[in-house]
Amino acid sequence: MIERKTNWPAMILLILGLSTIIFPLYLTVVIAFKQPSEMTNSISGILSLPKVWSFDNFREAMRVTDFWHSLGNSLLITLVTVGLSLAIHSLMGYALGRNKAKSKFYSFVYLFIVSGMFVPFAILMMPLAKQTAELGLANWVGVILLYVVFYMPMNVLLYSGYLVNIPMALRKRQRWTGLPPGLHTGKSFSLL
Amino acid sequence: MKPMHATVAVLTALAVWNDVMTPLVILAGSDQNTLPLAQLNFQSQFGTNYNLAFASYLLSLIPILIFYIVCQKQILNGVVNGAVK
Repeated sequence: MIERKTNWPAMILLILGLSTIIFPLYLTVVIAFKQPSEMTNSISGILSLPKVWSFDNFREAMRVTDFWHSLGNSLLITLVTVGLSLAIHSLMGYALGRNKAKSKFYSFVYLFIVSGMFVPFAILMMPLAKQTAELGLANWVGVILLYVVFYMPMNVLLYSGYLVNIPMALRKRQRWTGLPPGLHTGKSFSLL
Repeated sequence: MKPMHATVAVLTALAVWNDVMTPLVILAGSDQNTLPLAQLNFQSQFGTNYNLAFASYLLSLIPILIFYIVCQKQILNGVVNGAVK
């Protein structure tokens, strides 16, 4: 048997960190089930458990926000954005991550794209609102386009940083197995 | 590539799902509300009806939580693969 020792400083830090998450989450759940009349102006009125656990609040909230319609739009925008990001940004990250050490052009493109992270959205907001309206993109297509562009710097940074580390691992593998280069490329692609 | 895809997917999906600003600016006035946009109603229409608002927040939390759990498994799998190799 391995003797397990409790790391008390880490334990206390983790409990403190966890309580900052658990407490708001508890409040959210409890308040979501309560009736407005139970929310008195005292601490017990906020912290106490609801008298009756009913889903009336949820039903009403779904009606007010037109839940299924909004959920559909949210899901559509999120899933298409994630799909496009994975497809486009991984290709960009691959090209930039592999070439930016050797080529000046690629390292310039890389820095140019990554510097897009420093542009705050508040600056772009007004011109973008006008442009999308004039281009007929004031719908979910325009929102997806904007998201794919806005998260490009971050994602390209992540992908290229990850891919820079791969060639070293593969070269090591080649030394171990002693495969000829042609066979090796096949293997490395299956690894990716 | 799988762990990195999962990481990027989680980061992007979380940011997009919770974003209010871009849909508010672009989609305002159309009937294509996203969830955060629809939840803005709670602030004006009902004054401070926290009960309804929090119920709605809990509802909108479920899909992204499921997505996160699915992706997190991929990240952990990737770490294990790397350790074995």
